Amino acid sequence: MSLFGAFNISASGIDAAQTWINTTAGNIANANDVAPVSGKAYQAQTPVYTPTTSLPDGSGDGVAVAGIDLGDSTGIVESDPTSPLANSQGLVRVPDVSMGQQLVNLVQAQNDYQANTAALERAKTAYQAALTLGQ
Amino acid sequence: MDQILNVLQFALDGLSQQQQVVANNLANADTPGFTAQQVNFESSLQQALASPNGGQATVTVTDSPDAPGSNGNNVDTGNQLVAADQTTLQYQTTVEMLNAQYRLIQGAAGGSFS
Amino acid sequence: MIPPIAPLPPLPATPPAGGAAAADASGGTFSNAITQALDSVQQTQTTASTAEAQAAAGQGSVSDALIDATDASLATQVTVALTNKAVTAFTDVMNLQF
Repeated sequence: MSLFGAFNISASGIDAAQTWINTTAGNIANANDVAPVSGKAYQAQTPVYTPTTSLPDGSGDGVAVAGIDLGDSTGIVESDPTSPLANSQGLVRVPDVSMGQQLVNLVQAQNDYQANTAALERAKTAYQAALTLGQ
Repeated sequence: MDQILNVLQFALDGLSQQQQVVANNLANADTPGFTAQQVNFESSLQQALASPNGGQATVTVTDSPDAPGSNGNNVDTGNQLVAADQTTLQYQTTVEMLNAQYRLIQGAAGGSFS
Repeated sequence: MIPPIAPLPPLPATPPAGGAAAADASGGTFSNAITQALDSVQQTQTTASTAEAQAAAGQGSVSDALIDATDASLATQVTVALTNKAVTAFTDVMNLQF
């Protein structure tokens, strides 16, 4: 079993967590974007994680982002007559994004990032110990 | 016990695999439907050491029995971080024991003991 | 390929402190003295190996294993040095011309 395996696996976890942080930050930044009823609302982005098993013995090899799910472009139609984008009935489209959920997700994504970084550190320490064998 | 080098080498293999499995669990801590895995090599090693004719020790990887959360994922991140620490410390210790044996052999054969 | 694991030998009694070679100062032949010294060191090495195997298998204390390994190393070091000295002295004596 190669210690390099653990490196690559944790690196994939860090990448995936970074993607989640980026998309969640984007969702938070755009959660209040108003669009006209004739247009599309901002669509929340959510990465889709799948486990990778590309090793010859089929053992788990980390995680990959298979794609980014987009939220519903319909959003929510609400009344905001003061908005410059409101139609004749004073309606606008706002994104169907729960700020609370996005903040929870951001914390989770950051925890994932730190956990994978910690795992990477541990693998590095073990590898450095292995380098002392026979010295 | 002239088999000590084999024993320690086997332990390093087992710990290396454990490190990999824990890393995979942490990487997939939020993957929907993912089942965490765990590694055991100590019980197989204990058995081989205790049986009168020795034997073949093996490393086994099994699914974790923890209950999954709402998205089908059962990774316990806190547990896995502890496991990562533990595995690393055990690995360092086993390397140290292996090096101690090497130094002993080297010294006894007329080389330096340090 | 993982080689087969041999069983643990029974734990020996606590070995004497290092320097067993010097204990056989009187009586016994020269080769007995050397053999005894090497045997007692063998015990410390077996104790160390057993303790390390148990620690690797998750039983037994890691600190004990490392201490036993250091004991074995020291005992071996002392015995090897004394044995070398003894063999040199023996050779010198054997080479004396009368």
